[in-house]
Amino acid sequence: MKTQLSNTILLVEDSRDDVYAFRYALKRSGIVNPVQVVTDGQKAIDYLAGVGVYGDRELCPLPFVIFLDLKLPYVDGFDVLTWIRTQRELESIAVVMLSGSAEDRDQAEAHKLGARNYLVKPPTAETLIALFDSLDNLWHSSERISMSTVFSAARI
Amino acid sequence: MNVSEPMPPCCCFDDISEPSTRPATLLETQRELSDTAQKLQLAVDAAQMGIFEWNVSSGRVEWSPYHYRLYGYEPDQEPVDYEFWQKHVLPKDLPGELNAFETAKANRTPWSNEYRIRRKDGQIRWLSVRGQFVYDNNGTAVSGCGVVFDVTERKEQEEALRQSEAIALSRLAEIQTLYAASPVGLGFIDRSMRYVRVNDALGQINGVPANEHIGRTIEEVLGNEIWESVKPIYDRVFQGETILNVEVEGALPRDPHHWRYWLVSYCPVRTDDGRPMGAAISVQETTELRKAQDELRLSEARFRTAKTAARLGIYDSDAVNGTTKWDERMRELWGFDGDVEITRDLAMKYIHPDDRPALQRALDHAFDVPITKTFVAEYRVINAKDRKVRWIAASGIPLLKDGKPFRLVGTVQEITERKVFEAELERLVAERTASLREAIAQMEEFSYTVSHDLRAPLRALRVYAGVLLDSFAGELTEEAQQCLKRINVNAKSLEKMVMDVLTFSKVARTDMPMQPVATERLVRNIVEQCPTIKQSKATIHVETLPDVLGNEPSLTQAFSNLLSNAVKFVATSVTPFVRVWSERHGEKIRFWISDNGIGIAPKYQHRLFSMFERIHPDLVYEGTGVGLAIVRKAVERMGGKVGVESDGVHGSKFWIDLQPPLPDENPIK
Repeated sequence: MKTQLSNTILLVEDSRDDVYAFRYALKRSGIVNPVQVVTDGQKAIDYLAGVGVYGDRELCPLPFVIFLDLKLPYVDGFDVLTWIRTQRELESIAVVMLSGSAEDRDQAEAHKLGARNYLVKPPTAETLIALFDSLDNLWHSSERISMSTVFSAARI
Repeated sequence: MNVSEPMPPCCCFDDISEPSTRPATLLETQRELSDTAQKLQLAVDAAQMGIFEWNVSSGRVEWSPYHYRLYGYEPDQEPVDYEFWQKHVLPKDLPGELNAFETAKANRTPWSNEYRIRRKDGQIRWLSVRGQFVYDNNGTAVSGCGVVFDVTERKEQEEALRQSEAIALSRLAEIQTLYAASPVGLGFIDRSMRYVRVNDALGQINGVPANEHIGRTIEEVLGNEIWESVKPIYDRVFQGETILNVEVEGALPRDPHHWRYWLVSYCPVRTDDGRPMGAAISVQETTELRKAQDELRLSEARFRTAKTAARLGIYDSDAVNGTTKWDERMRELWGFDGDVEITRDLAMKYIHPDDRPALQRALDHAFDVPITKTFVAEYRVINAKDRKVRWIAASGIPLLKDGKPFRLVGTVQEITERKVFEAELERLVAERTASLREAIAQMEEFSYTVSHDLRAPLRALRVYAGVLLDSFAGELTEEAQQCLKRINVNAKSLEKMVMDVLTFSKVARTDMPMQPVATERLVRNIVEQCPTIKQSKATIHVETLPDVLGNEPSLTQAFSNLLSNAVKFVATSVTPFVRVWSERHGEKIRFWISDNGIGIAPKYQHRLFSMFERIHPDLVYEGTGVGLAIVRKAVERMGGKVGVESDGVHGSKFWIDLQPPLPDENPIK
């Protein structure tokens, strides 16, 4: 039975600046899916497991894509990734690694552990568009709104 | 005359000089004559004379009986005539005899001569003849008569004497030659202490010509002081004592400041009655020898002092029979008493087993000529008495005889303290090196971490500046926008610096496995793919480049930096022209990258490869000042060197020396 995924994007990132940059890029790309942010690896696991404060799936829906930073407090990105890939319920979620550097080593490791993609921070709008286009999930396309509408909305 | 019966030998003398008182009767006269003849015969026989009478005209010869006997014949056995006589004379002596009596005959003088005859029995005898001729009224020689003696013994004695004289003479000549030529000073002193005979050598020793010695006293020649010192010796010698090898010293009058030494032997020379009449002396100057001996003694003393101070042990090994002599220090080190016989095996037994193989090897090769000049070895000895371990440094000189090992002579010194100190030093050095390495590693780690961590805030800076410029440009004044632009530029610049430092520290820290690298392909790839190079529209000639032993990523980094520098640092409106070639440089391969850029003035060249050194102003040429430091670090870690040649005007020529690949390895394809 396929788990029910929402149209939420989960961002696992501890740096507020990187969160801002991500959101900005997302906005510029015209993607208006709701974004949930957790600031460390343990919280990410808790969220995905629906544990503790993240127990309410109304408030904390399962995402269809996870943007996972490499460098995280408590449990780092690779460990979270490894954990995700052990969870059957989460197997259809696409995981994209985010990193400050484009180390070949990290990229290879990411792919080995089951990441869908690997982006260097800060992601540009173009990169995000290309990424989302590549995900075979209907949720984003139906929710996509044109860029101009986004910007005009933001200015209000 | 008839003397048939043997007469008892008698000798009588009858004075017949006086004439008798009255004329005797014929019978009495005949009897007197007969008596006289008998007596004469007896006398002559007793005197062992042979009488002859030779009739010159007829050649007949009359001999007395003894005469016959002289010739080995019985009396009256044969008729004797001139021919008969001549036959018996030795041919060599005949001319002399003939000459003698012919001369006498002619001169009316008696003759005497000596000649040899061969007797009937073959014996050779010497005869001495005295004869006289009788002349007639006309003065013609009628007969010759005389006596002959057998003088063989005398002749033989004379010969022996002559021979012994000859020998004596030749011996004398020998001795005189020896005397004159002797390098040893020889002389003869008489009882009045004067020189009687002096050879040239003694003259030289005394500094006075030999002949000037003669007749002068020793005191006159050698001076008062030396005389006083040898006078007692002469007194003894003239008492008859032989005194050998006396050491005499002093200064000669002619050379008073030079103290000399002599070795003198004295021997009394006696007359027939046994009294010494003089002294024969032999003198050798030993001044040089003494000096040498003194120096030797001194150097030996010095050596001994040094040896004792250094506590050296001395050994002397006979390589032929395997025995070895040790001094007390050696025995002390090994713990052997003086009576223990030392053999190599015994010594080895007390050497630490770990050290034995190396020592054995060194000993085996000690006599390899010409490889070894000195034998050296260090090993531990476990003392037989106190069981303590001592470190020994041994050295020796191998001696060969006829190309074969003969002796090994040398010293040993205890170096236990030094070894302990060395071990301690090594430990300290290792410790320091370790901590130094750790410090470097920490620094490199730090620079890595720092630059890595710097990137995050830099990123944020750029994001916010970018957001402001993109989204809020309309609400910002021109100046505000300019400020934001400058923030962005600086952030970008800082980011690049950080990236470069990060690259540098990666190059410094990461493992760098080395392999054969196809340099030409690598360089061409860079030329084709590096954006900076492509944008510059430079012309780059890459000649055939050999493979090198290196690390491909680091090599790429190095060449990229150099090539991008080459195209970057050109005067405005000049098309960059870069040439890459290589040559053999000693054991390494040298790559040249030359450009037609602005060059680097010689006075700045020493700073060129340091971190953050910028030669040219940032306004004109963009750069972080780390690029060349990265090149140097990368190249040095690959076992190479980097440098530049430039006059500061006509472009630059950078060079990299790298190791050639080891043989039999295939380059990366």
